[in-house]
Amino acid sequence: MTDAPVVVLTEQEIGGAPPVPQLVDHLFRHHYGRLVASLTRLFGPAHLDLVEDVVAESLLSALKTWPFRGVPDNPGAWLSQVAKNRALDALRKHRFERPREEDILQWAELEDRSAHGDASSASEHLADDSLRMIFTCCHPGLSPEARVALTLKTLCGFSVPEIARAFVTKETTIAQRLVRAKRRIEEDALPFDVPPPAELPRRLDAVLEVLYLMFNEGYAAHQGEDLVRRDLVDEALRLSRLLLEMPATRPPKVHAMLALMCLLAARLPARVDAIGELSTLARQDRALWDRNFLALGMAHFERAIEGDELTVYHCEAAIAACHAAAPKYADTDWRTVLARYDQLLALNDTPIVRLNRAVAMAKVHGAERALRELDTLEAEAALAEYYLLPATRGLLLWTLERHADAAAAFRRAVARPCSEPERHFIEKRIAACEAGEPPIDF
Amino acid sequence: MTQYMLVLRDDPASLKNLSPEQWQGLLEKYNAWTGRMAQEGRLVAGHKLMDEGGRTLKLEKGKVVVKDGPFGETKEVVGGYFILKANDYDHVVRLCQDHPQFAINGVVEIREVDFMGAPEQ
Repeated sequence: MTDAPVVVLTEQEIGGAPPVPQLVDHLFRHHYGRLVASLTRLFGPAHLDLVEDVVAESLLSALKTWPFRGVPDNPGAWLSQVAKNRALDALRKHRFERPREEDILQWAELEDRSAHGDASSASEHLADDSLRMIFTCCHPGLSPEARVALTLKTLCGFSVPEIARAFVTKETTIAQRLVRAKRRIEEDALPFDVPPPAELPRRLDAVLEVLYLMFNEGYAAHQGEDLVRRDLVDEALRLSRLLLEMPATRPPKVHAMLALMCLLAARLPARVDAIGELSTLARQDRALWDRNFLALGMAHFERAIEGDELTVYHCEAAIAACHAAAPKYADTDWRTVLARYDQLLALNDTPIVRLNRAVAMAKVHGAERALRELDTLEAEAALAEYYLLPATRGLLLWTLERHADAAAAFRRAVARPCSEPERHFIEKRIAACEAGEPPIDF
Repeated sequence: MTQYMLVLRDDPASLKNLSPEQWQGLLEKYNAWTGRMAQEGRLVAGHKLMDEGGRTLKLEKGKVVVKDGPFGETKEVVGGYFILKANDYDHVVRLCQDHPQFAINGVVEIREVDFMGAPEQ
């Protein structure tokens, strides 16, 4: 306001509220996950609802207090202190045998030391709680959908509406999934711990499956709200990095998955062009690829190939690395890409993998050969509603200058479920084929 | 300059259905607003009121009756207040255009402080 004289007052005169510092991005979300993990260790996973209430109340108390007293110098320490008091209240109210009061006080002491940065062992200890929480949320005793929902709810502080938006699912469905998952945790007394060595490989696979599903839902972005989607990518990366905290939970395949995630995330800034339209790998402006993510992805890839276990994440990361290594799309080493797809197929023979491999096949062996491969996929139930099958066929036919057949294939593609940008994208191709335009690179 | 009290009313339950990310968004709005008021030198005082407790007193049949809580028929309660320096009511209204209270369907009641001829405190 310019119509009022600016009077400079001392801090005391303005009620102790000097201009406040900016909050760290996602501060609330991440403290929520951290506190829920630690209190779940203390109260046990069977009391997850109570723990979530305690933590939510603590954050709400910050929301109600900080506008008047300003953001504290150490927000994390402030939140832990309030959470401690609320946890003690809950303990007295419910008269649980476990935890004991001194367990909570001991944890709070650790929190305090960690928040003031004077003990790295304290921070590690607390990171371990989040790691244990991941293994509980991603227990194979829960369905993959329930695992994702529970992970987003407890470790990432997503609300039910946010999870529903991210997965284009009804809120009631998500709410039911969470209720069932929590009941299962309680009834089956699912553990809160990093699994013992004998169980670890299987349990870690279940975790990776969830984290990659979360990432892919955000990355693929077929529908839904952009912001929530980007959050899924970031949260999947954050939780995956937590696995690096312990030697036991960072075998090479974890690096392989992180390599894949980073190399794909690097492309996000180039996925939509200047006029807001979808841009395929062939047409992306590679100057827009995020250099930091590319470097991080390649560093993880180096670590991924140290072991002798070959996973789907290795193969897919190797394919993404081939693309990352090509300065232009035309420079792509398609023979290597195809060889990696063959390896992937040997590990995971699915119609989707075959469809993606068909593109590499067309590049190496020609479009006719790839079209014959697509013929074998037409009967696959898994692809019956998948628009990319006819859309890929359209591209290959167009390459062979079969304009009418290509247009027909693209028309079949838009008849299947796809997002508005995707539909618009294919409709432009129908028009181009009908006008007899020369084929585009694919 | 005249002083005005902003009485902030809202329904505390409305916050419970939001996510931590949304809570942070609200807090950032608050920080921006109070930060600006403080920088412009308008903020005289501001306090949150305790969530729990509170008493309402009323004379019934010649006796002062004490009731728990400030809660009446409406779910809205006074969560806190600010005292601002401003030129006039219109000015305060302009200053409150982007008040974060509205993001949670809250109400801001503005009242001029009456110093009754005494110098401002």
